[in-house]
Amino acid sequence: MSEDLDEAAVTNAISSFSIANQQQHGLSEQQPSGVQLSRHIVSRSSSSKDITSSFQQAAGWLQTGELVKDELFTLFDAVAALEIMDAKMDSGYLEPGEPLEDYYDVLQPLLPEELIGIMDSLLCLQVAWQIGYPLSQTVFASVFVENILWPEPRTLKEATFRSRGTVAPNLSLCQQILRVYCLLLIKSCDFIYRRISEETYYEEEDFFTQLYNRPLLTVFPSEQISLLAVKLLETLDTDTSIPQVQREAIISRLKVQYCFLDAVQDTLESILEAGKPLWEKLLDQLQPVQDSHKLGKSIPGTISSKLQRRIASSVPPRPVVELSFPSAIEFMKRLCKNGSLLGEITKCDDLSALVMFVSFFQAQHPQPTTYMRCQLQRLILHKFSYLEEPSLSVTGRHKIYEEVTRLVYPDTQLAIAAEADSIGPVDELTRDKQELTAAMHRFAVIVHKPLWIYVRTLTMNRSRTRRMLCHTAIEWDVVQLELEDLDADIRQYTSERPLQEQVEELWEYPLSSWAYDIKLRQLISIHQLSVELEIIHKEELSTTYWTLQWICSVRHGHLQRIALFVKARANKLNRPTRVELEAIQTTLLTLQYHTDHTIAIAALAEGLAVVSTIPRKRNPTKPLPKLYHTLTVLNLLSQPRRAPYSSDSLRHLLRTRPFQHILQPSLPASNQEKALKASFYEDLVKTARQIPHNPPRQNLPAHLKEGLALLDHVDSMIKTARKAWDQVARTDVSIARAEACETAWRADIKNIQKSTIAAGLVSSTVRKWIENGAGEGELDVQVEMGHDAGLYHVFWIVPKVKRKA
Amino acid sequence: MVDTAAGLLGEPLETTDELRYFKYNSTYETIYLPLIRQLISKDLSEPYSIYVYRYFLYQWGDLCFMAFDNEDGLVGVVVSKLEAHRDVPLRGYIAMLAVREEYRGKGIATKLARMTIDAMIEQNADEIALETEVTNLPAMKLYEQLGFLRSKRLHRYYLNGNAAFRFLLLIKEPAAPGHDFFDDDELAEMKHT
Repeated sequence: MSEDLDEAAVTNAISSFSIANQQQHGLSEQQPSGVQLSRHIVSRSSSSKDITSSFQQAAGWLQTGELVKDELFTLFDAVAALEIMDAKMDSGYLEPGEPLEDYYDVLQPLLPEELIGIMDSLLCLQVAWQIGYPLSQTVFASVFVENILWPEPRTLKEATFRSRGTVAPNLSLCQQILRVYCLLLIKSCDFIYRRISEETYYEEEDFFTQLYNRPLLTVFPSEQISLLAVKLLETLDTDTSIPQVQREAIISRLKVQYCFLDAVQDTLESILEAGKPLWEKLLDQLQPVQDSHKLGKSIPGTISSKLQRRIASSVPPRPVVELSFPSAIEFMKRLCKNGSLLGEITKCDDLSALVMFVSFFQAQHPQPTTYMRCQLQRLILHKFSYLEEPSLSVTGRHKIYEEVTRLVYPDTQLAIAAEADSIGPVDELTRDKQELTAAMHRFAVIVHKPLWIYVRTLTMNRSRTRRMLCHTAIEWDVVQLELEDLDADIRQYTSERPLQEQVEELWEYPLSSWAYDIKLRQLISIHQLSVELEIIHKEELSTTYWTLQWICSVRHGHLQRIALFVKARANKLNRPTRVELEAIQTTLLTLQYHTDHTIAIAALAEGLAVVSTIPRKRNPTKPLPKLYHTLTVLNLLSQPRRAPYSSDSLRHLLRTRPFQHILQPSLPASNQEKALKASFYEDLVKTARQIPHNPPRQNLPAHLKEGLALLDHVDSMIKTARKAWDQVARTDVSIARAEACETAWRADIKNIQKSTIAAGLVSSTVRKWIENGAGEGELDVQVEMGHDAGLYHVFWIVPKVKRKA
Repeated sequence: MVDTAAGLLGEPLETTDELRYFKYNSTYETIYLPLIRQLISKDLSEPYSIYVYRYFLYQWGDLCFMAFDNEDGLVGVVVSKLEAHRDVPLRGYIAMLAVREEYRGKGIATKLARMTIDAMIEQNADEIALETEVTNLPAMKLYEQLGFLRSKRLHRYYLNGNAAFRFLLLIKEPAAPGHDFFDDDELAEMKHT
């Protein structure tokens, strides 16, 4: 039956495209094709045919619901399709009696408390937009903003409220204030919009660039708008028509927009030199606004989702984003703090310092907004312009080579060659030097772009940073390979001799060693971000920390190898200059810092890899058997999850997939990993058996002895971690390259130290349970684990273990 | 609830006291589709047009499974696809899974998910993907219990501003390395709330 109906509908639809209609609209001549146009189009080169009946016949062969599509029709196309007469898809659809637009007279009398309410709701819209929602569902949903922006004002004078198209002759004081408040707000949006869209790099998920044909007062200089505000503020200073409390509330709101506009219309100089005071000034203004919010009165009708119908959008109105006032204020305060921090970038003298600064800037929670991240990129390119140079300048080469020196302190001949200006003609006498210079130029070319991509990756949103790091690690794997070849080439010009380590000959590989370390740091970051972003499920934490520990141990070995060469070089130096001595000293301290840091991460990760097996129990009333299960079978040996469609090896494969193209280090395969863990466990059992004389453990069953041996291991790891983090904390800030972010750096270490202590507490709590006769009865154990259980540091998920009340 | 004449639904795959499970059959599109749309659109603020449903159902109707109660009311549905995706010869994708509110917590969603997964495995799927909102704890738990792992977090993936997790389940060990891990084109594919 419905098929008949459909056919009838098709016939109706076709007949509505009648020739009469087309003639009426004068379309008959222009229309290239049409159902019944054949009668009108006659030419030598073409002939037309009425296909109505064939079409109907062909359509009749189709089943209802049968999809006719070509190869290129994608799901995306299907999703983009709209359905007429569906309120959520048809932009013109109205419920019976529903008006197309809400009407609100912007010139109706405005009371001070209403003004305050409107100002606060506008602030919420302004913030919601900055968070990442489209203008249509935020700022453009305000009837006041729409009224000012459309029709497009030609002069600033015209940028005012109009009633039915006519500019109001006289605005009341409250209306004047609201107008200027809107102008300041729109203009600040203009700066933010341009900043983000001019920035070479932002992600589509971060920010909507659609302006819906409503320029944000772009043509009007911000000084003129600011001047209006200044004048108004002067008037308000002496005006008594508005009661004082409300007046102050209004003044503080105007000042917020005034200061905000000031802060976002920055030039590079202003961010670097005066940015901080601007944001601090704004921060000061926010408190009185927050305190006086209760004075405001909200007015229905001033925000309308139906305004979206006016802004050239084919989709039906979507709901206006509702952000609470406290969240908006919170956002603005954070913005001020982020903004004040940005200028600190001037303290970054080199790439190591920059990477540190960017990492800590980005690690703030919640993450700095898209606007702030664009500013960050802009400043990076200002201060480290060589990163994006099409061809690397001498300075750029010098700066990049500085990085290598700091970490690996290679033969000084390399440094000389790296900084040599040009290669010049090659002759016999200088051949080696020239070749070396050419090689070092090649080095700079190889690493130049990957370095910039790495830094840029760190400025993205956290989720994307993690995904991009998976790319950059692969890229640096290739860089390392290329540099290994270069290192081998260079040997012939520097007459490098290998170090003899027992029977093995060790070559230095200075350039590729440096690249390898960058890659290892990226791999460490990927795993830490996976924990932070909760991509790692609780049940996988143990494995992830185990992998993290494994990568750190690789890095530790690598750093030791570098140190071996640096020390050998230092010993060989014949009457070194003070500069040389200082440089070597810096390198050794840098290596020490990285070593401490790596040990600290590795030890805490290993401790947690074991500790996080504890909450594996599923039945809280019978924790002992599960604890036993955990301690003996151990997650370290296998994943006990009984997922019907998966297996240890498939899960392992999926987890290591991003790294499968990386040649070095090659993550252990599933069976290798199991073997490693099994041998770890065997060692542990052996240890457990070796302690029968320890009186408190004497009478314990074997599995609990093993459990205690495991906790002994956790304790020793935690002890190592604590020592190493203390060591890291004692590092000179200049060696850590954290001058530009010292506060954040110190706070970060402190939080990790707290995590370390907490992990130790878990171990001692479980130990007490076991030692106090756990073998006899049930344990009252309560374990919470995960981000929602509260953490000292987002990289470190320490379980919380409590005795049940 | 649409009143359907008994028997029109065809033979159930499985029957419990309360429910009958069916594989989608295009013969009954006129009965099924309105019910499916009604059930799914309840959970979505951004509705799919009929083309989206037909896109899936016409091409991969055999991966769609439904649970009906004894009054022929649709209680749950799963809609999926299976096709080549970059270097993966056959990647399954669970596009929609919905269970009527009052029937939740009874394992119906798990049952439907398993039915579509089994069908994909039968058709030689290499892996299966899907996305959930990071706040949708029951859905995440469901897929994790089946063996899915979170493979990525996607910032502001949905129109409501929420982030998503992409879940993946490897079915087979890839014959040779070369699977592309990076598949952000799906960002564009399924943006809904």
